[in-house]
Amino acid sequence: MIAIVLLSFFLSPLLAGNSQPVWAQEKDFVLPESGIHYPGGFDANTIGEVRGKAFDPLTPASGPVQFRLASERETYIVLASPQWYWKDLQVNLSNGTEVRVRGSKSLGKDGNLYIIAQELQILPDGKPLAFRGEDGYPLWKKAAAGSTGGRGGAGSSQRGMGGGFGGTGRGKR
Amino acid sequence: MAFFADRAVKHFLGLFFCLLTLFCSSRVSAEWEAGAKLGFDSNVDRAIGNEQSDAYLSASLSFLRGASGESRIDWTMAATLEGSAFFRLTDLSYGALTLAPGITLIPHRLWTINLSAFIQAKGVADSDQSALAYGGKVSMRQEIEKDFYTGQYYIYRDSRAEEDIYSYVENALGIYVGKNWSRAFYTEIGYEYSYGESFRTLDIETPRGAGKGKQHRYSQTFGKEVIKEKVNRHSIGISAGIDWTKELFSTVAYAYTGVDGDSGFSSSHSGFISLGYRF
Repeated sequence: MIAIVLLSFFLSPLLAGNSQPVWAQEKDFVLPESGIHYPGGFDANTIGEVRGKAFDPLTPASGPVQFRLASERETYIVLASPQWYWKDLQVNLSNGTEVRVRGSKSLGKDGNLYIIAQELQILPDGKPLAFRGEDGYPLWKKAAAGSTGGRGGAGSSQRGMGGGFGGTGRGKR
Repeated sequence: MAFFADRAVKHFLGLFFCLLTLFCSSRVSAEWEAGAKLGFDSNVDRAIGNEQSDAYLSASLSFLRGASGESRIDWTMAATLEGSAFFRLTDLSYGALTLAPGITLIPHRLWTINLSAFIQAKGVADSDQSALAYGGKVSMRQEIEKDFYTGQYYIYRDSRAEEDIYSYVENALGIYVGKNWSRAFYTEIGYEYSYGESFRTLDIETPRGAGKGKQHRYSQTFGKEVIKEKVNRHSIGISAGIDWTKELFSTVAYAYTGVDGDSGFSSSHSGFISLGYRF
């Protein structure tokens, strides 16, 4: 019985077809209007910076906070971060606020231009607010990193290393 | 193994696989990790003098469901199956199954709290040491500045072994600081204090303090007299981890541990190097 259980455990990921790398499996979902993958749709090859006025900030219950950004040439929809992270950054955005947004540009399936924000600055002298790291990794996911424990640390092998409960000593980053 | 014949363990295994199937089908922000670890311990028998050192090779498979970060509250799960083979004291080789569900709270973007419970079934070749353990862990982590963080944790563990001398209840407190030098490389240094019961081995037949009603028995695995007593344990550890690729990663860790009890002081140097694969 034990042998069958152990065998099924080791084979289960193979049978489930989980052969994709982990970054492709993360909890991305497709935003219905734009068809953009969130939060993983950031493309470092399309990073640009836009200055303009912010309008219609929208804070959905799930998914990213978004607002319209009207520049001299185009109008974009900016996708920022989950509501809780936006609140923690204490972003004070109202209609007509002058801002600078750096992020990955994308054309949505609805024909609108989108920016997946990496950094936002309220002009003229606001502090730059970061939503993503240099490589586009969402900083709100970093806050949750390691929640399953498991990094190697203090403690004896007699009790299992550190505060972890097993594994190879590495938490999700 | 007699231990695994126990009905409670069978129920635990059944529950484990039912939950695992559920989590796998949900396609949440979860991943599998397979890993191999080569470790050593300079005092594997917890001896007070005349320690025995040993090395081990272990393999593990983990299912990890971390918090997604999309909300301030999320649930987590770590399920690990591992097996370790000791090179010299082969009777210490074991297989273990651990299930640790939890909740992550993010009160602030720089402060994360995780509460988790765990249950572990461990079958040891020396069946006297096979045990069913349960407990809980409360951990916090704060980002002090960019890529520099600190954390604290408390662990309660109640381990019930086949032979009571190997059973223990332990309370552990730990702190650590860490630095992410890049997205692919980190280092940590930590300290852990714990107070609780522990078995210890002695060469002499009548241990000091035996008159205080301590349990003792002879262990064929260690070739020594084993006692159980309350101990204070202090550990200092350092670790480093690197992501070779998005899937492949390694960790190296070292810890110095000092254990003090009525029977005397003992210490150990332990560590491991591991190679893991996420999929």
